[in-house]
Amino acid sequence: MDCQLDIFFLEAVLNGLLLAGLLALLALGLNLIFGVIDVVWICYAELVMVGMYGIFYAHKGGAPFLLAAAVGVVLIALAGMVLHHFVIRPVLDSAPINQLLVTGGVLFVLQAAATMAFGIEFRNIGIRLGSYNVLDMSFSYARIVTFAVAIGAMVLLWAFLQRTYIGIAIRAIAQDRQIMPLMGVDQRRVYLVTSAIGGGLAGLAAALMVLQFDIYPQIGLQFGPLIFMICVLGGLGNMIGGFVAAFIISEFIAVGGSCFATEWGYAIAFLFFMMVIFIRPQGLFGGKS
Amino acid sequence: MLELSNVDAGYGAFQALFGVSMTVNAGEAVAVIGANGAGKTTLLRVISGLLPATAGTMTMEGVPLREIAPHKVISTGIAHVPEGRRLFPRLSVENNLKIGAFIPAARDKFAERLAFVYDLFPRLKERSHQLAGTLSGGEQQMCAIARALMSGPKLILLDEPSMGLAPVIVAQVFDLVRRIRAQGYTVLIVEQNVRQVLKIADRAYLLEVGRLKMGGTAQELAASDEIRRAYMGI
Repeated sequence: MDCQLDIFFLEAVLNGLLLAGLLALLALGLNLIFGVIDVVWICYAELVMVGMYGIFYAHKGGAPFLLAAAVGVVLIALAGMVLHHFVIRPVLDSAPINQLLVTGGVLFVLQAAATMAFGIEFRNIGIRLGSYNVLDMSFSYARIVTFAVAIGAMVLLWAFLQRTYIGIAIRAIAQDRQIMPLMGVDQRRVYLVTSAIGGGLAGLAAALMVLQFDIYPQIGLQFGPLIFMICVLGGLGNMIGGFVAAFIISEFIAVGGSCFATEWGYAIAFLFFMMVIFIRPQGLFGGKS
Repeated sequence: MLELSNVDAGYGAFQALFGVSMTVNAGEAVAVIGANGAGKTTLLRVISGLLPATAGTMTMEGVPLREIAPHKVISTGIAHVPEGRRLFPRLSVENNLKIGAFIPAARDKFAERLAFVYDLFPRLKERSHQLAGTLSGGEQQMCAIARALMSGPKLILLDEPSMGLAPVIVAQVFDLVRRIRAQGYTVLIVEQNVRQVLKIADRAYLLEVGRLKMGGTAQELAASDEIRRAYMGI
């Protein structure tokens, strides 16, 4: 164990902060879907995986990165709508366990399909952004860009939910589903728009992740549990709670990983999560926002 | 304006309305009175499409209501202020009003109508940025009525506006209803508070276990022995 309040500790703290941006973005999409539609997309991280492959192949096929990234966002936004229409809508009124199982089924289908289509080898998009060095600390530009874009996207979504008619309807529907028709709001349309936004956020996360991580069919398993833990810690459906929880968990991972070993970072984060959930089963910021 | 003819409705195997026929003419205030469980709330829910009718016809200015989707009913000019107000508690007063103006035809007139309802209910303007859940009961009823006005309706359905309010606030709420009537809106109101509602209505119907038992001018019903005994405790 090597944990002193030195420059490397500070570096770990700052890297945790940068990681938090990405995790907060991932958690936001899941929380939005749950808060509005009351369904958990267990396969959320697998949508990100599909997006990463989409961006990888678009880029490999000659598209400049930004175009490939845009393709990824649109592709997964559409995937979100397809998922909602064909998988979620038929089970909207079913027991929660049925909803979990069907989206869980999609998780395995996507993983298996990706393995068949793309093989099990790790792929890398091959874009190196270098890193920013200050004092004795080093921060990769990929992480810095990821953080900035994630925060920017969250601010944009927040403004959308505050100011536009459909955005306010999305927040309203999470508070009182039954009376929405009295406002002239077509619930099915709001659900579809929400699914597209949730998917689009997964696509954006995929575009940021290909800059930092190798792509392989099981990458969803690395991030999925982490995203769910963050959402539950922040209070499932509570977007602001999820945002704060992403920063807490990221610091546990980054600082814990730096003090002990990288593998321990995740374990420590989960231990902390378990302790919180024993004491506050509804999460730190319980209830929906 | 609104015509119902032989309307049946229910919840699963339980039938709540039996052959209800009624008319609301433009400019009128019509009350539906009756005991708890008589089907008053069901009647309004059927008109606004929240609960599908199982038989009969309903038209709003000639538009057949049973043939359009529930979220389209508001575009025919019907705004429903539901039982228990049902504001969005974690949205600001102003965002509640904005949801009231969700339909495309209402969006263009949002600023104009917002000024109108703030003028009608200055208290709401003072609280425009407060969360609706933090308003008092009377203010919430005010906000719920204002939200309905934002869609630019011709007919307003009011479901038990006095429910759960203190007596002094109830008087204020009936005063609100008088004020929106004075603005030229047609009103269909259901109430258990028979004595008060017959004072502001032009005509009234008595609903008993899902059937309309009596109809007439508000004075006629207020003078009826049966109603005075059963509903006004005289």
